[in-house]
Amino acid sequence: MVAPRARLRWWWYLLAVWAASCGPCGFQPEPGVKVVVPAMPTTLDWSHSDPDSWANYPVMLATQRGLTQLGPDHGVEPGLAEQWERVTDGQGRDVYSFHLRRDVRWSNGAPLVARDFVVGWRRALQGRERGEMADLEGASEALALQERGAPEAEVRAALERVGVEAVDSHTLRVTLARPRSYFLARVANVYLFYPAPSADLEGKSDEEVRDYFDRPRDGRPLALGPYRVERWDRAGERVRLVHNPASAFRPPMAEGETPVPVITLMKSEIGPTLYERERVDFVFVDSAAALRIHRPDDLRREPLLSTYFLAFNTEKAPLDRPEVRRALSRALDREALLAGLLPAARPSHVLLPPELPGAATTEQAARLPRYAPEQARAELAGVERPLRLVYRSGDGFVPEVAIAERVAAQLARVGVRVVLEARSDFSAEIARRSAQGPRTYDLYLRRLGADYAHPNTFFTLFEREGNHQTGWETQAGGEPLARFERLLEAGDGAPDEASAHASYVQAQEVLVGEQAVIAPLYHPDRYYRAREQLRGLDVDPFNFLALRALRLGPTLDASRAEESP
Amino acid sequence: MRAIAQRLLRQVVLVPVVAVASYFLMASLPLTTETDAKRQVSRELAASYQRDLGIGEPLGFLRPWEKLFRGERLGTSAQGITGDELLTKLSGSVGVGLMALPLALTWALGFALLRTRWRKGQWAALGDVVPAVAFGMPVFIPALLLAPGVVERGHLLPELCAALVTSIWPGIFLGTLVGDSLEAELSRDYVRTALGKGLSRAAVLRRHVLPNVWPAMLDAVGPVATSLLAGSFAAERVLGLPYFGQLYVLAVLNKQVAVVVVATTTFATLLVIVSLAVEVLRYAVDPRSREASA
Amino acid sequence: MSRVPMRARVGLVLLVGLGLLSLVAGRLFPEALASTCPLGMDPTRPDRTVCELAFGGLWVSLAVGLAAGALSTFIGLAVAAVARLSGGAVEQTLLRAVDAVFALPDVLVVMVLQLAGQSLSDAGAGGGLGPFGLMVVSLALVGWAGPARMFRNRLATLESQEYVAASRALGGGGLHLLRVHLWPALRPFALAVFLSRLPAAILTESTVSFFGIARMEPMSLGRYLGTSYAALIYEGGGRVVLPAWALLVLLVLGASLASQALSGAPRRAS
Repeated sequence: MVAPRARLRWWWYLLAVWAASCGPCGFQPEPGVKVVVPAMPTTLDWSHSDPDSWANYPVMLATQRGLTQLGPDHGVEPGLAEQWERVTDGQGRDVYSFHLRRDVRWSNGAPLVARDFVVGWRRALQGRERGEMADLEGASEALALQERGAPEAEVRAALERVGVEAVDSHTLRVTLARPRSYFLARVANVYLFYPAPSADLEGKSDEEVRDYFDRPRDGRPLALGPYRVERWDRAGERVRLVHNPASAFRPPMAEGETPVPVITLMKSEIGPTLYERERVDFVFVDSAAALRIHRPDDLRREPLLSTYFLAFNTEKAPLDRPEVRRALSRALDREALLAGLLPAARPSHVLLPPELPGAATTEQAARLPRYAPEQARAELAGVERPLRLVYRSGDGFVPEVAIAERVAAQLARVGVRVVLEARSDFSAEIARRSAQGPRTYDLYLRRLGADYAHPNTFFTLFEREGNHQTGWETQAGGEPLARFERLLEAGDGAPDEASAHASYVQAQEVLVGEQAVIAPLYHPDRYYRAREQLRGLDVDPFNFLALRALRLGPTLDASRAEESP
Repeated sequence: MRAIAQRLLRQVVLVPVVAVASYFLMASLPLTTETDAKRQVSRELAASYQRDLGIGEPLGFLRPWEKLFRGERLGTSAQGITGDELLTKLSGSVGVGLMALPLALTWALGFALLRTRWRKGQWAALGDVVPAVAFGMPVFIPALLLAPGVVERGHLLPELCAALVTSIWPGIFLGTLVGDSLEAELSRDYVRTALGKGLSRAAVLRRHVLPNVWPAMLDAVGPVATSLLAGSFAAERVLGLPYFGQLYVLAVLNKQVAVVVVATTTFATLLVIVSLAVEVLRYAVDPRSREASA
Repeated sequence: MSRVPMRARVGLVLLVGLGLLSLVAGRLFPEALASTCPLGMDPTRPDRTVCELAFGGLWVSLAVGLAAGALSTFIGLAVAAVARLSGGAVEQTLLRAVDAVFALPDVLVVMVLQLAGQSLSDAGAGGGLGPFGLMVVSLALVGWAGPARMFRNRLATLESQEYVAASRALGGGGLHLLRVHLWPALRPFALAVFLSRLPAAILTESTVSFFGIARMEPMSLGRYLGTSYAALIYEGGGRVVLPAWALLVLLVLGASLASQALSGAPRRAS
């Protein structure tokens, strides 16, 4: 028997050994800049992508580049391509020849070649967002074959015929089925059009390729941008980016500025508090609670090229009548809908935000349905059935719950009863059809954001193939939608900007005015806070967190050193 | 000896039961990619479901384990995990649990002693209110109160806080049990004899009463371990700890069914290991259990 | 009812009082609260007051807890009765199954069941269960094991009593024994078991809602805490979280006091 004193000592030894062995195994905070993002990426595979792609943009934009890039005024500037020619061939197709920059290298030092685009775009044509590639010559055939579930070989053959080819190592020829005025703006931001490191990918099976992107290791996946993904801790909800010295796209350094060696994108339930305590360096302020209870001094606001709208299920009575939909749109007082919810708001009854090049003028906007309660009450007298309003439940930056409740209250004032339903499976719910055929919802609320500064980005959702779920392709035998698509076609192919804009304004008129498929409510803003020492860190009007120009100002290291002696 | 073996066997049998039950529950889920109108889950997810669960194959329920031991990934490339990752995450959670256990025991003893003292005075009601408050407090509330101070600080601070908040309710629960048996022991004759012979109250407690209370405590360690681990789910999420609980919640949210099967079974295995350890400890500590098995 | 101990009476009064309060404040006259709430408006839903949401949540939580508690008590009772009536190997198998369900934490199993249920109802095979129904069913499917074990043990004890033995000697069948002799003796115990399930169900629901796995609408107390907990970390946010939390604690206090006093046995860890 050991004496009690001695036994106690043994216990202390054990405790000490255990504590010492577990010291380094605890979870240590990472050095470098920490950025709190509202959601983790859903994939790091930019060619394959994901419908929830917005969460992937910060990583993709920091690590990759497109053929072009957008300048400060949203105009197209050279990116990976230093110049290009555009010709229309005998069959009315648009043919671009892009000449790639010769000094661009992947993060392992391998040069960027035209083949990288061919490989990347062919993968994108098989990915989850392949519909985005439909403008390419031959793409529709490849997409149709995949929808049909055609054999692998047939799909491959069709992909070979798609209009993207490497003329030589640094010349890429892209053929579009029809002229598309937005194409150059699109390849700048839509990351499906970014090149993929073909030398690394060829010879790998599909699953190996997916792992190559989604499980970063040994310096892979390769990057072109100023940063490279080094690690993705899924359970920890962290993505670690490191500086890519091989990049040809260095952030513009001023005197005393340095590149950031490590950036950690992380998710946290308490981001704003961590920012207050100087443990993170950037945070979105999305929660209404944060904005209402305590508004910080360094709060920054970015007006987005984006529209939040109410959509109608045009297949269900009484919403199958355009006059009812217009009346509902007239019953909504957009100002009151947003009053007091956010520090600032831009209520609106038009789809295209006023900052967008080619938005409607004030007179053109005045023709669209706007708040007129008396008229609305009279027109809605016959509506007796309660309408079911579905909205996304979750932690977005739009105060959806409050808006939904106010929409219901405002429509109640004109005699229309609205039943609210928050859904976490929002996209599935608005697509759900009843046994009789039409979808089951009546109204839904949704935000639409621009991917690039062109009216087209606001309209694609409402095309026949778009994910609008309003059923307006069935309205009046499909004539309005056909007319809408013709207008877009005319706008996309128009030789000069003025006539293009006229077409887009008319298209908006059909969608929001004549057919009133949707009732726009407001143009959302994004709020965030960032340390002053972080230069070039920005949220752009597309709601993308832009890290590509990030560098450290001279004072950050000094102040950090003071904090932690 | 046979009685003990039987008890151990009963515990161990839990693992295959959970493995098979969770597998068949997950394998019966209608995760179709497309019905007539809508796409429910992504193609990759459906493919991983087919691949990882070996649906329609004989002995398909062994497939996730086979893949895990071969070091292959379960689930989709973006959200799935490999065996190594699972083990790393598990070790983190177990570490937190190991910190929480002594804390819980401390709360238990402290609360039990306090309660026996309160019972006589005007604070008697506290003996009921404290457990109710502890029980009625979802783990995420104290975790959130502590979180701003510790998240991203490192040096095991978040882990310690997670251990602290998860141990409150199990500790108090254990305390009520220990308190009950403490009272029963304190009213016994041998305590009065010892006190009468002039031993101090503390000495009586330490030498005579506590050894008799240990078995009651050991009985409750199983459920306590369960609720410690369950509490760690919420604590890890709030305190930003990338461990097993986080992995599990994310696997459920992302519908990584094979990961759910494997993680649930791992969890059950962990609990079985705890209860086996308790049996061993009981054998060492409690002479009555040795006699019973002899 | 003089047999009912004091503590149980306090607990029951607390429970019934909270129920009535939530009915009156959250259901019948929500407007009265909306205009007089001293705690002001909720920051995430600026058109609703904190009182309105908290009492509305209390009502939903009570409904979930009562339904799930009743269902799981009933399942537990049925399993225990079947086990005792059949005896032998069937009883042993059932007991093992009970052990298996009992060993895993409620939160974990409810998460898995929610995943399964949501996938089923996405596929249109949910049997018309909304989020509320789904939550009640998954809580009941988790919660029956504890009651089953308690009932089975209590039944075994009761069966060894002399009057039961006498009745059995007079030729009474199993069902007859259960109905005439055992059930009346079991009733207060059943109530105690039911009351002990109530807080466990409510808390499990709140934790699962906190993870965002279940989306109860209208909001339960747990979901309200889970969605507005962020306010806790802002200055002055305590007024949002603390009242809801206090209601939750009172609810748990009432249920556990009543159940402890009725059963004379301590509760299990969830």
